[in-house]
Amino acid sequence: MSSYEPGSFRDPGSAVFLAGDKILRGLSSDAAADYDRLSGTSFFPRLMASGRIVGTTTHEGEAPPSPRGTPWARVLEHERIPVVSYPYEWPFAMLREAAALQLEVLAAALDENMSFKDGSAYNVQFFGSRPTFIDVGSFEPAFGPWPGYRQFCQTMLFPLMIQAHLGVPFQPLLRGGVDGLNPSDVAGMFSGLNRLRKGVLRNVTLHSLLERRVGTGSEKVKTELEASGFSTEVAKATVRNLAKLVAGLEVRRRGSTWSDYRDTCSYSDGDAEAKREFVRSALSAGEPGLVLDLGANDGAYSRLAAEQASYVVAVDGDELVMDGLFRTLRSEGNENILPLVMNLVDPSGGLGWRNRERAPFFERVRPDVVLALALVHHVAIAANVPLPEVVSWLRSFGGRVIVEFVDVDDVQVKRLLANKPPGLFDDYGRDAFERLLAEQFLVHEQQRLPNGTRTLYLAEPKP
Amino acid sequence: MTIGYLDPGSGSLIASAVVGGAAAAGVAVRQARHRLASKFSRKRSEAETTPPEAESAAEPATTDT
Repeated sequence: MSSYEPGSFRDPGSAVFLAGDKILRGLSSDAAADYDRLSGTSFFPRLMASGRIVGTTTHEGEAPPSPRGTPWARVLEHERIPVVSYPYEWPFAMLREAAALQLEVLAAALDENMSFKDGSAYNVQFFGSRPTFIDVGSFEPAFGPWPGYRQFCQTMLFPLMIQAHLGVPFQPLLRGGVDGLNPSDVAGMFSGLNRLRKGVLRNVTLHSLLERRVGTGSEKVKTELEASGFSTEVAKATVRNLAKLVAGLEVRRRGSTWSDYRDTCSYSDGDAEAKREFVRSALSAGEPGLVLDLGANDGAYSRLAAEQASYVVAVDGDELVMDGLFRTLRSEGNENILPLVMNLVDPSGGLGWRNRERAPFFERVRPDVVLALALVHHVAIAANVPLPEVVSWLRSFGGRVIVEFVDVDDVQVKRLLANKPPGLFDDYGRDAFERLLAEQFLVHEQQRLPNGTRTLYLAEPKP
Repeated sequence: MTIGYLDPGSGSLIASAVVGGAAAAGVAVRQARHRLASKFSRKRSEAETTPPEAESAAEPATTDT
């Protein structure tokens, strides 16, 4: 039995299915011919071997059903991505790496007269900090300009430029629409001297102008470009120039609320060591296959978890902190910690066609263990989420939880309460938390840290 | 060969060529010239109170590439 991946319907020539634990891709007869051509190139096996293109083999078993009714001519099997993430969950440097990879694969393809049908950011996924190109169905023989340039601009280049040149984070904008940002909207954001910033005149201003003014159909424009001497060499130059532009985009960073948390947090060395020891021992209590670290900050506990888990998803709402974590992990070549940016009280929802094209975050990740360290007080007090809701939320992941509760008399909680009217959180307390936890979980271990205001629990969901 | 499923956008195709530093910028110039020519022929037609049939007769010249 196989289920259709709702994000892969746009290309009639190819669709992705989940069959048991296998990821399959059906190809139409035309797409199968393109795949044969792709298989004959030298870049395809080379980039697969280096992990830049997702591992792909021909599947000999039963073919999945086709959403359009025409049977598949060929079925491929892909290496599985441990946890699927989307560009609106990536920090700046992660989207930039993904864009650079997409251009690198395209440049290699153009060298052997192959190109992409599209250019979406959703064509890239991550193994930890390593990006990989997943849309093997996108390769086609090169002909004329790259048809994916617009999609590339909308979902990769414009978001990067907006953050690099204007200091505006792209994540909320990308989350606003599955097709990204269109050229005329972006042109409206670049006014005055900002139009002179790197890459803006051609990719944004001129692009938006041409989009409004050129009324001729795109097939005719292709023919005109051909008549004007457009060759694969021009497409290669386009990709080269884009790669140079992307590599030069950088954000100017100031500090953020959480960027120096590790240096300014209230833990003594004794507390920090006791906490690490508790977490390490709690993780070893069972098979921690997939760990979800909620409020991961600099990833210290994600790294601890990664010593035992096969994969760790580190989530935090602070883009600056996650960007730093991504850069460090990338420089280390880490492939089993996936750093994502997300406000945990406003996580990514369903996007695109019927809200199913891009699944909500918490449907994509089913962890064996959840780490919720120094998190509950933020969710309960800063975001006003009632304590019973917080505990139900932790229960909803279905896995074991390693959770820390911080008492009202802790300096951090006092700081949070100082911003709220008195009396609003009288129900916030360790006794109430422990009662709620015991209703839904079996608490296997608990330990008060030496400072006396923080307690750690290892809890397993009640059947 | 598969026909691309995506409408690449006419303006985007030309913009991508310009990003490639192409002589294909010539296409943009030609497109602009067509538009100017058609505007010009319309204005002249109006000024000379040319009947609509004559105006449409001028069309092929402006769409030739």
